[in-house]
Amino acid sequence: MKPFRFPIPLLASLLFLWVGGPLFAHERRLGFVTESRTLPKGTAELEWHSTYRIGRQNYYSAFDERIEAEFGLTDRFLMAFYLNGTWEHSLSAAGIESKSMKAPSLSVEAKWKLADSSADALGLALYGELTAKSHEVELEGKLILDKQAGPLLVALNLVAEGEFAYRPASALWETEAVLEGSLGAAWVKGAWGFGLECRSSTVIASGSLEKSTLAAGPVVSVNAPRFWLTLTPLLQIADLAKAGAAPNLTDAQRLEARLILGIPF
Amino acid sequence: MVRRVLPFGLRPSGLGLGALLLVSCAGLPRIDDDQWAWARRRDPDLTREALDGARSLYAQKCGGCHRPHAPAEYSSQAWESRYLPEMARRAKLSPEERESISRFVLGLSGKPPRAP
Ligand code: HEC
Repeated sequence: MKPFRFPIPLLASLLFLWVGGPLFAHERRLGFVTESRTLPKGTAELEWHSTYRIGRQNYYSAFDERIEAEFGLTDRFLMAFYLNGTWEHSLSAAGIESKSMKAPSLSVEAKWKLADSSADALGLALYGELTAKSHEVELEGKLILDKQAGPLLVALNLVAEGEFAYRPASALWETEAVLEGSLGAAWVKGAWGFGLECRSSTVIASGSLEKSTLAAGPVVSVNAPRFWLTLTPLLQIADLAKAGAAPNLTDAQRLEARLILGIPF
Repeated sequence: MVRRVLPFGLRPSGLGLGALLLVSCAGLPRIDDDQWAWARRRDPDLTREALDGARSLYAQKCGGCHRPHAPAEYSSQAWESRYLPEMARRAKLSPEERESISRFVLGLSGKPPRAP
């Protein structure tokens, strides 16, 4: 394996968080599953999301970094803005090394809470996200259902995503659809939260099934007065495209770990 | 192609377990006669509608950054001196919103699970 190199943009994003001004962060108890909660009107928060993907047939490692600023426009509606970056490092079967840093992209998110996870029988929110890259647009829609019952949180997300990429060389548009279902539960005791998350993800590229995987893993979160952290390692446990088959390590990774850090000011 | 799983790979057993867990523990107290009676010990003029409204305002304003803590989790003294002043500022409450949320929280803090 290649030695691990700490990406400088990661440090830059940390620095940005520390000097980012008088914003509050809100805790998250799940890493991959989203909750229906929205910030109250007039409040804002800053979060840093770092996702590390590693473990394919041939050497592969990637970082997805996101910095998010979220604003509560009403008590039930929020908008958020993201700056995204991805770094990939891989070796092909033939031993050819490739290192790439994708051009940074920007995303806009809107979340609308229709029912509250504590006050109502079930929390419900609609979530939309638009990402623009050079020659590429991504649209994501999410249905969020959850329940906060005392210390227990259970959340379910159904996600549909469309990616439309223009290839100037061939003057063609490529399309990709991603369907995801994820379920998570966490038990919160004092500052600590422990739980489980699982996610199935299916990618359909230009009309044919590319991959469909199931991953699961534990989640741990901690809320300190000065910061909060959520960490989830998701391990791929099955290739759903081939019943009974071992994990798909050709197009998907074995491990996807996400760390979310929030610093209240 | 895809077997033993619902659409999106959800397993029926997982959903069943989730539903079971959900009904087995309580969240923010629902406003019933018992809760209302308790809140009127402190605030005799409080109507049930006002208490209900305060509860949903509480969920909106105090459940955005962390789960909304149940009033019974802390003493009314701790709410009054520590949490309400600090959190009213964080949640950017107007004076009326703060008044309503205080009635809900202080009214129901210290309430035992069953009224005496
Ligand atoms: C903008 C984000 C935000 C909002 C809105 C908010 N809080 Fe908080 N709350 C925090 C943070 C951050 C902490 C932990 C740090 C601290 O104690 O100052 C906290 C801690 C608390 C605690 C202490 C929890 C513990 O176990 O120590 C209570 C109680 C609380 N909040 C109640 C409320 C109430 C009531 C409201 C609504 C009026 C509210 N919060 C709204 C951010 C928020």
